[in-house]
Amino acid sequence: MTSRIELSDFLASVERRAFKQAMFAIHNEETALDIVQDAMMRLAAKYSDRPTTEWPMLFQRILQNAIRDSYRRSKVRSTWTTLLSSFSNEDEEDYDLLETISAETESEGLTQPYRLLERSQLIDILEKEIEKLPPRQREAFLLRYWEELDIAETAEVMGCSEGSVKTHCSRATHTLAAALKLKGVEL
Amino acid sequence: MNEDLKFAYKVRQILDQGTDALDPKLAIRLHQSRQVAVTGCQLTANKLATTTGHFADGHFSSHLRTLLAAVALTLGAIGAYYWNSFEQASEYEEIDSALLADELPPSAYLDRGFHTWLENDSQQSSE
Repeated sequence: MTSRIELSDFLASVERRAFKQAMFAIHNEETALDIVQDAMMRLAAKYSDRPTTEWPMLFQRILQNAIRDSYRRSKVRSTWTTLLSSFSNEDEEDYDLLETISAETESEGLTQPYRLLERSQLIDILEKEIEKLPPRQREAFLLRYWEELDIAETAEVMGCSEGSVKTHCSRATHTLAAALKLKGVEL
Repeated sequence: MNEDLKFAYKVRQILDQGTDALDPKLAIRLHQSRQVAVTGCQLTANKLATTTGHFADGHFSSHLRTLLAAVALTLGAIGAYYWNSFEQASEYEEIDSALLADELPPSAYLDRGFHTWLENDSQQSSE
């Protein structure tokens, strides 16, 4: 039987990323927290006796299923809300990070708070662009590059072929790169 | 490392910074969720251990309980069977005494012609 500490450490290492993943798809803090808690409890209840090396993939499979289920439910429930919220995003298009960055570099000496602000703005932009990705592309991209699952594991979690994973990842990368370039962000 | 991977690596770094800067309130909620999950797992494990322990301790007593329950069930079934038999016997007794108390002899009830006559007679009287 695996120790409680090992399980706690594992969950601590994935909980924040899991929450972010749920937020990218669901856009609701409470629901995202519920999804993560549910995934944690399921892993603890059903798979805590499995080898610790299997936990990352098992946890991702539980999490992604929960996200997909919740996403489908919310889509059915609020088709109109989703339509309206998609219009409200237009205001953010006016924001250009490049202007901010160029202003910063010209200024004398970058203070630490300023760097922090710049960083938080970059995080904000990137997260918003990830939210905009099609669900399957986002799922593949995050599992592959953020959760560091290999192609076979990602395919198993997503329930698709390895070829599909490669395609989703490639498309997501190019869409993301193009969107960031459009906003004047160079990584 | 190709361009896509380089880009993905940079994205990952920024995303990681995003999770590091997570709202403390959310971090606390996640911590609580984790505690609930781990405690739940521990409770399940303890429950399983306790159940196993009890089974080992009271192995014989549980067998005895099962045996007693089976005996009680069998006795109950036999009792119910006898009770039903008595009930049925008393019902037959009542019918028999009613037949005997009547003016008609019991053989009349077994005669088919008598039944036909009764039916015809009742139809005529109703007309």
